[in-house]
Amino acid sequence: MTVKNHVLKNMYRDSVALMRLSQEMEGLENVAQATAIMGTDNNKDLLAQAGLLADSGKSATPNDLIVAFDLTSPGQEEAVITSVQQRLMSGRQRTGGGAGYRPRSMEGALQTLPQANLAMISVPGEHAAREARKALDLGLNVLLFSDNVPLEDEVGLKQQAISLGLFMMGPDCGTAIINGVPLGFANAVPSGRVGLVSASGSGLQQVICLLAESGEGISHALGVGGRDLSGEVNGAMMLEGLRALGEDSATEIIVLISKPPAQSARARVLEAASQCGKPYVISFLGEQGEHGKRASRGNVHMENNLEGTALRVLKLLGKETPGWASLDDKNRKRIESIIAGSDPGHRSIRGLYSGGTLCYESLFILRDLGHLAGSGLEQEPVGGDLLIDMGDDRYTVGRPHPMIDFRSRCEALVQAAADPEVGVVLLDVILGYGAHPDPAAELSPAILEAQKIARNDGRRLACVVALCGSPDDPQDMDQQEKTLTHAGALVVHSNALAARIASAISRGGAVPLPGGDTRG
Amino acid sequence: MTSSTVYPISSMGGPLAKRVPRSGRWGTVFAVFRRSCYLESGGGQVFCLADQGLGEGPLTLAVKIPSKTTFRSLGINEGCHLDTDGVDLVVGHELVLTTAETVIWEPDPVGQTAPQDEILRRLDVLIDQVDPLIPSDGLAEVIPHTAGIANAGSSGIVNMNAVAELAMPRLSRLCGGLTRSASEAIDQGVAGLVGLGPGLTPSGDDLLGGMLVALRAMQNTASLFSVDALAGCVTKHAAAETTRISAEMLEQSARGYGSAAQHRLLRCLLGVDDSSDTVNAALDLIRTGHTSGWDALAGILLGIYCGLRIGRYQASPDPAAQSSIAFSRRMAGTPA
Repeated sequence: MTVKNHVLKNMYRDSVALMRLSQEMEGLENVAQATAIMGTDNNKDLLAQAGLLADSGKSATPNDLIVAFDLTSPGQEEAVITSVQQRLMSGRQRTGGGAGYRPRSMEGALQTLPQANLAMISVPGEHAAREARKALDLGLNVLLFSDNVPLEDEVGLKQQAISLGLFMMGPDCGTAIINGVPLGFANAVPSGRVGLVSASGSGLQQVICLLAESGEGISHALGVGGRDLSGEVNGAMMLEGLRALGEDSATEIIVLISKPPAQSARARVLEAASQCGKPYVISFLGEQGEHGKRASRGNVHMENNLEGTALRVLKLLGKETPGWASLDDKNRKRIESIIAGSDPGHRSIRGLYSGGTLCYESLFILRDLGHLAGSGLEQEPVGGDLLIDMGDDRYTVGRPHPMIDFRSRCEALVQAAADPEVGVVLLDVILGYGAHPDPAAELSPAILEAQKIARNDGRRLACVVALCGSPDDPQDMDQQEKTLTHAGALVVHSNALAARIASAISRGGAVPLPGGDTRG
Repeated sequence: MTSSTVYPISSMGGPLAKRVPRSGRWGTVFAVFRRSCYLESGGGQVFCLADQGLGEGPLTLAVKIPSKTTFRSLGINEGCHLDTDGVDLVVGHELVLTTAETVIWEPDPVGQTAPQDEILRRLDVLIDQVDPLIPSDGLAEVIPHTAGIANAGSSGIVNMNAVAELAMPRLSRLCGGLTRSASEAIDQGVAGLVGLGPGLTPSGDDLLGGMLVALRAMQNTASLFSVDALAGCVTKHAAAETTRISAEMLEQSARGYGSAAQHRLLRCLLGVDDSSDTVNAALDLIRTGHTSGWDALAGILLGIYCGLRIGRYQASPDPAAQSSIAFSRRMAGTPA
């Protein structure tokens, strides 16, 4: 081992950049251990205690950055330093302007690309409405990625879009696939005969992925934003989407996905659906009571979870029940083994999600099964099971979304393992465009570490992963599943099934079926 | 002034507003990040120009810029100058920052504080809420142990990262010194924490900053000798032993100025008003940097526990009663 320090005078990089640099260096060949830290006296003591302080580092001042590393073989110092410098400089070059013409206005962009018919807008909420209005005025359809847009602006924008015959998707719309073109977080699914309109991004991704795995493709998938079916917006763009899909010759079945709507919006949507000649599957996620019952009337079929929605579509298309809807023998045996080896006193569930709707679906499935489950955002702790949507705005300001950056989830996973009450960890892994290029590689070490922590404490920790992806996604879904399984995770493709498996492990019983039966 | 790019400054920290020159050069950029940059004035004072989404602070000029706009894409680089004509500001040659809509930011005071039992209950609830999210870097791992540390105990706590393990006895020494008004112990504790840990503002600095802001916000302790001694030690050590950005932050903390997120959380934890926003306020704080927000939260919790203990200690004439103060269930098993 050879310890080297590289001192960068008056070098300031933010904390996240320093942490990433440390991580990336540790991933370099020939580097056993590395860190990037400011050269204060206390930090030099810290490095000395870790055996990472070299003579050159001793002269650093508090405003210098010390890059310390331990080489597994001598003679590689220059290569590592060159790599560090490239990494430190790459941030500047990326943001420094770059070559080529970059239009600074929507008018400029249209001059460059006059055939464009859609503007994707992502600016702070207070500016978003103005930009969207400008785009509509220019005759462009809008996908508004921004959130925190005032509700009255959303109502006004959607009214304006309807009067102009344009689509106004969003605000807070992160997923759409139009004419096969993915926008935002979207999956590589085949073209087909199912058209979808959704007020939920990850919910939309889950349904189209389950359909794709069953060999069914989509015509279009439109996002409308999470508030479209509120009383104020009253389903304005949802109805436009449904109308467009009704007129689209490639669409044979129409799917609607949303959290429970306002009564007035519900009535409008059901009225529009019943008057359409095509079959409709309407999924109001988690809807309870009389409305929550799975039912069919004429061409309209009601569901209340994502798995049921995909299964209903497949049934209407004459497909057999797909493999993802049930447990294979291997997973069934693993569940039995986990239950047999775990202590009934240590089986509470901890969910760590990147997809908000997937977290929501798991919460209501567990509550339906009688679990006392909280989301972590209640004013007072609920106790029992805890399912956290780590993609919520509250957790992501200043940090990348957990579909892109797994650090916060990995940390939370390891934390959960140290909690003696936790016996099951529920995770989602969402693949596709916009998501992390190799989520399994990020998550697997944390899964292994979490299980080790529990094992050292004489406990057993089950990790259940809902892998939401399409076989054609760029991440190679099969390889992702293998890597996660190899790390000890129990991987299924249906989020609802993952939640039911977690419930079964938590209670030491058989896996409940959606209808209330069980399968062992 | 002419320029192709104009953005408004939405707010300016109160202490910074007092330093704006009438005209001419105000400062030079020495560090540029994605959504902020740091400048140094001719007099050596450090201040920050930041996207308003990062929140207000005593030395922050918060500017409204479009989403995903990076500071470098605005032409801001190390060595750029900030000039003023007495009305607006210009960075480099192209970027004009207007002040017509600028408000001067000062933190809202905590006001009347809640009863001690209620404050302790809020601390317990908050620690329970954030516990599942605590990262393994920096000093966040001390959060579940803050009540015990405030009672000058740190034994029996294991499995922490190297920075936290190193910091634990120093924190205990510091807290013990605060309670006993023992200057030497305070100085030793501070010396071992300033500049300690990862990040541009090292974890130890962020923790001390949060602690100072919390203690200054607790009116019953603000004038106590030990808090003033802590402030003096921190500024003395910070001037020589940490980064200049951190030293300037600590100078403000010593005067009771923290970030807007810190003050919001303190109002929720200490004020008599509704505390229902506590979790959101804490989440706002912990989003700062990689571990800076977490470290500051640890400091705030430690500061409040210490502040309550100082108040009790000063109020009680009976030494036996002083050592038997029960802070909360988190104290269980921690030596007094």
